[in-house]
Amino acid sequence: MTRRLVITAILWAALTALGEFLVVTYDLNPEALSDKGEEIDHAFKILMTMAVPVFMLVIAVLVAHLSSFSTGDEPPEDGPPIQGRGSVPMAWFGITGALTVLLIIYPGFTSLGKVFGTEPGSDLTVEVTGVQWTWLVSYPEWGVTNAHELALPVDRQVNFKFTSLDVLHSFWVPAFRMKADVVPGLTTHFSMVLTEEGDYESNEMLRVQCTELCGLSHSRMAIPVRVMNEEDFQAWLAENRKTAQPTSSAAAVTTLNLVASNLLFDTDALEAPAGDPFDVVLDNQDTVPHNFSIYTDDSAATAIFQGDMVMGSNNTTYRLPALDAAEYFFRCDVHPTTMTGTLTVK
Amino acid sequence: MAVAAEHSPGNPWKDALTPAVRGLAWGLIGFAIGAGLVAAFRTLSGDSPWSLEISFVIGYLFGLPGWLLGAGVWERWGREWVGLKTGGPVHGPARFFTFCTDHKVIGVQYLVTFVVLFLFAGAMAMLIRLHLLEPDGAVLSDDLYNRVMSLHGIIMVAVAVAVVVGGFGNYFVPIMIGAKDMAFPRLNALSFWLVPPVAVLLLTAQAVGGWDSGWTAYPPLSVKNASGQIFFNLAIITFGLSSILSGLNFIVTVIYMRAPGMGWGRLPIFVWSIFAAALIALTFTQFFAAAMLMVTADRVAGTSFFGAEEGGAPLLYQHIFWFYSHPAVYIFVLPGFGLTLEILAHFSRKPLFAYRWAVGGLLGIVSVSGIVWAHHMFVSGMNEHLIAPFMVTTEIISVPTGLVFLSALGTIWMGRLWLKTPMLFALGVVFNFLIGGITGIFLADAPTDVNLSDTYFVVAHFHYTIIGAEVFALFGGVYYWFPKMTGKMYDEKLGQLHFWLMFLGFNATFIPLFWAGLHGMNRRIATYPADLQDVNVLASVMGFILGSSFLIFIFNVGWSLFVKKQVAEDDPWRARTLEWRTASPPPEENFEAEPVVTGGPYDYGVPDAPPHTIFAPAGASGDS
Repeated sequence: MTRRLVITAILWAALTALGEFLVVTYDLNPEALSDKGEEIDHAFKILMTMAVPVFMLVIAVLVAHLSSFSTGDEPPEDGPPIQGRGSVPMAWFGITGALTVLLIIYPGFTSLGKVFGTEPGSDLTVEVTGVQWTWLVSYPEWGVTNAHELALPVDRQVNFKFTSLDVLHSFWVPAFRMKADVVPGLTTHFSMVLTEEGDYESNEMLRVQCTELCGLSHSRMAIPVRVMNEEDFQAWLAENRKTAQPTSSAAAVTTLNLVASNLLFDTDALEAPAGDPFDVVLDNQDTVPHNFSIYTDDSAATAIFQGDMVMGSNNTTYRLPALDAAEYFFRCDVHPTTMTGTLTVK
Repeated sequence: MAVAAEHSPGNPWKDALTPAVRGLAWGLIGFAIGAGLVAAFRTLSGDSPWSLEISFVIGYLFGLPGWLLGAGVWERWGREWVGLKTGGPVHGPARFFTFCTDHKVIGVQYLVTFVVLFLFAGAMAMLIRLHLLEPDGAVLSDDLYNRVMSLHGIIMVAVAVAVVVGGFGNYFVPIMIGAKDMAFPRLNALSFWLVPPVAVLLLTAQAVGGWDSGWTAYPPLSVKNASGQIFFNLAIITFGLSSILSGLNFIVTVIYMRAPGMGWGRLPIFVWSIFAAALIALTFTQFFAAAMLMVTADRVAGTSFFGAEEGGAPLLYQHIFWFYSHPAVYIFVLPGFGLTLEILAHFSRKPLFAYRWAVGGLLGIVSVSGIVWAHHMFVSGMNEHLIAPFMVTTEIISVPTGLVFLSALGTIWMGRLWLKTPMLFALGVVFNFLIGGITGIFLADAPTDVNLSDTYFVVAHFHYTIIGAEVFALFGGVYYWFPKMTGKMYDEKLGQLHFWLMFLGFNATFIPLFWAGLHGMNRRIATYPADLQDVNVLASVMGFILGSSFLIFIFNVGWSLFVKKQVAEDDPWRARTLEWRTASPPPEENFEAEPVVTGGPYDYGVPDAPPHTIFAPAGASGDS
């Protein structure tokens, strides 16, 4: 009994020391790029340090006893009749209870206020709308609406507001750690400060990913995130600020009609004259947004024209620039796999 | 009970096939009546006679009783209602295919049905892992992936609810408490015969587009998606009814059917765990059914419980759903705990350590289980004032769970460990649930959960609790009781090979998935960022090893039953509990004589301990 106790204790101490060493030196989480993300990772690490001794206690008991066993016949004798009615269960109950209270307070309550806390006054509001199956980003104070990427300034308090046009979605940027469900009929929100510049091209955790199952293209419901310095951010805002759509000039131009209905275009082939600007009238008969965009080919890597979102049951006229004779790929950016076609310019 | 006319020895194939065929026929007739009524009303009001969802719901409402009556309720129960003689029992192997009231037959029916469903949904898991070998998806379309994932999810949840409780619970609870049968044998058979329609619904749903809303079926998606969702809803309501009836049956059985001397302090821990799980099933299951009724009404009757644009509340669903579905995870895991502690005591050759504390742990989990549900909703948009209290209640659950660990470790302590296959699986549960439980703390802690919720960290966590604890315990139980149920001994070497492949394959599959979750992989996705391919390939390859371990299991069962046929002793494990005091397999009424319980079930090595049971001469003792 005493010998087994000593072996177990030594094993436990050694394994715990090893485990804690690993927890301290090796970061399971990649770097967090927001203030709340850092708090969350801090809480994660505290929980790891508390988990190690608990985990290792069980491992130590198991290992200490796997040294003496029989696999073949029944063991020749029964074990000692320890019933466990004494002080051991009482002590166990007390210790596990105390440990639970400890972790409820720290890191539980101590982090709770910092992650969910009331929002400080912020000087930038970003409204994110979820729709099957993309995100639309608007900056109401700056006149930028329905952008297709999440551009953010570093080191500023940013207030996010989320709404959904159809089903449940969930806004998550893995690098920021923060997440909020996006619920129809409800505005959810949180705020945070981004601590480092970066973009999706260099870090795939910088993406807005939908994390609430929302139907067909749920896994593809992601847009890139770019965190930049104030100067670049202002330039980005200026570039994306909506200017009034040029009204159709007097000169008669070719007009192409395109109907979006039941999440499909009415055609997958359009024709336009080469060398002249032309209009595309998009009639959106759905309740969800669509748009019209042209790319050089169906990899959609190089955009030639990206139309604004047309919210449900509405139509708009896009004025397109003069194009060279060629075949182009067009699609709705919200439904990039199902609403596509070929634009032939000749 | 009135003696029914002895069944004339007929054709066993006919005996076996009649219930299902007649049930199907009567079910279809019922369906036609229901759908016909809908058609009549719709025609009268000027609509087209057939509307898939409405016609199907009403048709099913009539079809289900048709199935039940045809499958045996009429033959063996209903005829009494009108003063006719009920059909006699079927003997031989054909009885496993009939409406049989013997709890052992029902136990086998449950066990085989749900192990087959487990293997089927496991094949779905292999398909999922195959698909996720490539970032853009290797084999399925997005739609098919979502449907396969949803089907895998709900079938595995159904398996987890019913396989141990319905299978081993039915077979062994009455024997272990010294009863001849369950308290309500016909209700018991009814519970089982409600299950085939559930499986049929979930599979035929695929013919009308399946459903892509996972096993959680959150609206508004579940109000707007393909009509397969209706099949899912009806399946859940049916399965819920089965679950409630069987929960009620277990509670009454354990309270009223115990043999003389079987006090509460002498109940085997497995019986306690089934009792605890049955309390949860009886108390909470109706909430899932209610949520499903509301979704169904939103779809076919135009109500708007969950549609925000008409004043409904999408979050309402989540509260009702998780009010059942969180306690439900304890329906999965408590019997797993009970089975594990049972095996640990017998194979450590020691009394179960801190028996009363372990029972307290099981009941403690039951009592807290109903006030933790909103930890699934920390980021749902619910009122933020709810976060702190639910974080506290959820973390408190680790205290009673800790008592189960105390009992497990204390039992192993200084034990004479007998490492047969059942014991390996029980030790596997201790290791796996340790990881499952500790990672649960990270999800109960609201700040870390903000990041982790709906990621692969969650996926890995609940696979650790459900496969790691319940399914490992299930297979421990299969090997432990295989000689008792079949009268044959399984092949020990193949059993150990199964364990090691499953144990290593399981851990090597799901440990990497924790990592994937921390590195930006969210759950339920057909495609993922390219950076995550390595970890997914690793998880897939290890997943295939995990999958292959079940082929060894299937081979072992077939080999041991039909080829090797090594006859098992009545008590191959030298265990004290009651099921080992009777023949293998047990006779129809379980014991040759009335058992009288005289001692504890686990008093191994206790000097001068009385035997757990003595047997009164047949007919000497009355009912207690």
